[in-house]
Amino acid sequence: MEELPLALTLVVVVLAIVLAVFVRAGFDALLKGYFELRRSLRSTSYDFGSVLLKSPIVPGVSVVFAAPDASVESRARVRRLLDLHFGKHEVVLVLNGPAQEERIVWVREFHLYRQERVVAEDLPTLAIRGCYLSSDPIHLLVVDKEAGEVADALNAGVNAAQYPVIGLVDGEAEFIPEFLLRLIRPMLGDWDRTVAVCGVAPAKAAPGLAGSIGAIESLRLWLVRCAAFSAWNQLLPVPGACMLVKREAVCSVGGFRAGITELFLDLHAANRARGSQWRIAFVASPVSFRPAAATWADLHRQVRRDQRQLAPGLRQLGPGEGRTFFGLSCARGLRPLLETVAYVLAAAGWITGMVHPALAALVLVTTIGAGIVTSVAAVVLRELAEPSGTSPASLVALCVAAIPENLGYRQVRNLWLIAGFFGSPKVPKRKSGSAVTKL
Amino acid sequence: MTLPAAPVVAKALLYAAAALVGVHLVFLLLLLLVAMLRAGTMRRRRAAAAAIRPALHAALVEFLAGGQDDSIFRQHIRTHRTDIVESILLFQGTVGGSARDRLCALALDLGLVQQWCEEGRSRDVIRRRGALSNLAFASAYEPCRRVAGDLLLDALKDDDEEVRLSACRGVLLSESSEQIKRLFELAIQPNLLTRIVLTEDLRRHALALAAGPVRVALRSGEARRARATLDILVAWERAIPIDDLREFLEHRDRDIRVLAFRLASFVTLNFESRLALVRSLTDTDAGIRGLAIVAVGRQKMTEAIPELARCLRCEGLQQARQAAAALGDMPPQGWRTLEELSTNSNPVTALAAGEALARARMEA
Repeated sequence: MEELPLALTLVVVVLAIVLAVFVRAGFDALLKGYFELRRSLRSTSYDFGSVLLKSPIVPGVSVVFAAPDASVESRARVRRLLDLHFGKHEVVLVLNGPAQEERIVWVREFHLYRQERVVAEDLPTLAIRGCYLSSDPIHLLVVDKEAGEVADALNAGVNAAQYPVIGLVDGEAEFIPEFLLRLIRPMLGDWDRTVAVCGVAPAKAAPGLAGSIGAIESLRLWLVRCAAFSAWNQLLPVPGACMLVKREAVCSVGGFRAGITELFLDLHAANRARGSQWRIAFVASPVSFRPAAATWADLHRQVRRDQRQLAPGLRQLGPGEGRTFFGLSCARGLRPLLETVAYVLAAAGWITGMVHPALAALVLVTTIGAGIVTSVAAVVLRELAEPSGTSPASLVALCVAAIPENLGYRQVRNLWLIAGFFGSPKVPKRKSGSAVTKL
Repeated sequence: MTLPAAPVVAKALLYAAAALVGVHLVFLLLLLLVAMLRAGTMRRRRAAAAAIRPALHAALVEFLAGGQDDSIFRQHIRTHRTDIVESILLFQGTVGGSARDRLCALALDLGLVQQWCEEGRSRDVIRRRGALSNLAFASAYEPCRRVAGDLLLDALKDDDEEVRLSACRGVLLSESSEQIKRLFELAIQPNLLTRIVLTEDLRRHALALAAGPVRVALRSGEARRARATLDILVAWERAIPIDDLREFLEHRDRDIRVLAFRLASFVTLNFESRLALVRSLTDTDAGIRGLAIVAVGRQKMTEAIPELARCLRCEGLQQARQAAAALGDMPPQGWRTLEELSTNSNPVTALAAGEALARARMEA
């Protein structure tokens, strides 16, 4: 029992050091993201948009959308996808085992008629019941298949796609009609190496404290998980992103085994196997964004959804990819857990007198204090990378919001992250060897 | 506590961490001040631009319609230079001929072309891009080209891709055959963006290029060059004289074959190439067979009707439909074949033939 204070002190010290290392790594990633963002935004221009729109050389894009239901929202989303501005594009709408009534809704909405067609079988999927085209002048192909997982529906969409590039849109994404034109640019600049492109930008902050905190979160996400990861060629899709992936690349990794995140993890794994010949590019311009969180409930939903998308893939990484995404795994799974443990131990130790108050305070400085610095840095660096048009008063408000963000919200968010990381469902593992098929 | 030094170490660590956090925070607050000042300046500038833009646009519309009054531009050229430039550039895609010349002459009179030339030599890539893009537009007007001098030619070797592309577009307006050849060579390099942008601008010179550089590139024996050249020819969609397409219709590289079949739909084919097309109707690659069917139909090759009828009988629905459509384009023999096959016992054949016949009759 006598050694308990010493043990507790040592544990808290170690935790404080580990958390400080995490903070340092996070801050470095933020800086890396800033420099990448500056470079990326400076090199982005839309001068040749009209040429790309008209040129028949630009590869066509098949936007694959697996409709979860036949609701008004799903139909509106398909309409928005059909309205995209691009020279050669089609929307492949996959109906994942719809009921008869749902199929009728889709048929009526888009004036569909059945067409016998041979769908390629590049990826294994459940049986396709039929294909439908629209009698309206729209480029829509509807694939009606047996009910299966979302991954199976996406694979069926890839099989049915006629163009060499597959377009994917995150379920939460709000996008501009020109996003295909903007995303295709990096592919055209380096067609042989660029297998995928991801585009997203942070949304404007919603009013209120929850809105400001949501805005800071999305800035950190944009700078670190988009820009910095892109600089390290480790880009993974983030919520609200629009993506282009080469069809051949999707087929070469055996298609989707779960969601889009897992597909990108498989692409990275295949890239490692090929000696890093591939590149996944990032477009930082505002082509797509996730609607800003306006309430605490929105924040909770966004954190939970992001974690559910990311965690299953990260938990299953093999040794190679595990090393590649070690930082991300730590940030999403280990850090919240260690930080929460550190709070509990420091508080308990301080109350019982087993831990010196200075040590307990050190834990707070390395978590809350450093967190405030990181949040303010995200606001400032984003503004320095490219002025967002935010008023000076709003900038100050965002920086002030970093205090309550780290004094209260951060601790609650840690609990959400822990629950999301360790409570997310399992996804099928990639079969070994499928990642290195010929492209 | 069994470690007497622990409080001292803890305090030292706490002070160090707090100091580090404090220093970072102070530095960030200074940067925030800079960002705020910049944001404020930008907002003021935007407000000023929003106030003057409508007047500038209205004046430009009048000027381009033949008006002589350019006083508003001269009056504001010192204070709202950027707004005037952006207003002028707003019209670049919408005007042509004499109106475009007037627009370029206005830019020259206002000293903007000279400014773009200076910025074209800047070390800042963003400035260079903007300047070269503007100069490429102004180069349509000969006096502007004279002012730009060799700047566009020099910019062809720029490190930045977009600067090079803008320079290419400007140079193409000079109509020099040597430069056009040089830019065609650039267009068949691996960079797809360069090819896409230049293909559009080279289209006007298609016939001249087909007689020389296109032939050389196709005969170079390099698959990559041939593929890029065919890419450009297909994009032009013009009936360009090609000596012999057979070599590419039967090429070992599938991408080249695909492009050659697309091209075969709208160029004049010699006997050998036509034979190659008919042979390809029995190719082992279903995609190639489909392209061959389309090309045979576009060329209205009646000698291939028996082969098309065979495709209609033996192929799957997709290719049977293509074969039927090709037959539908060849009245009267093609229609007769469709009539016969529309009663075929094979439901796919009968369906495709019936559909195509009905469509052909309706369109006739």
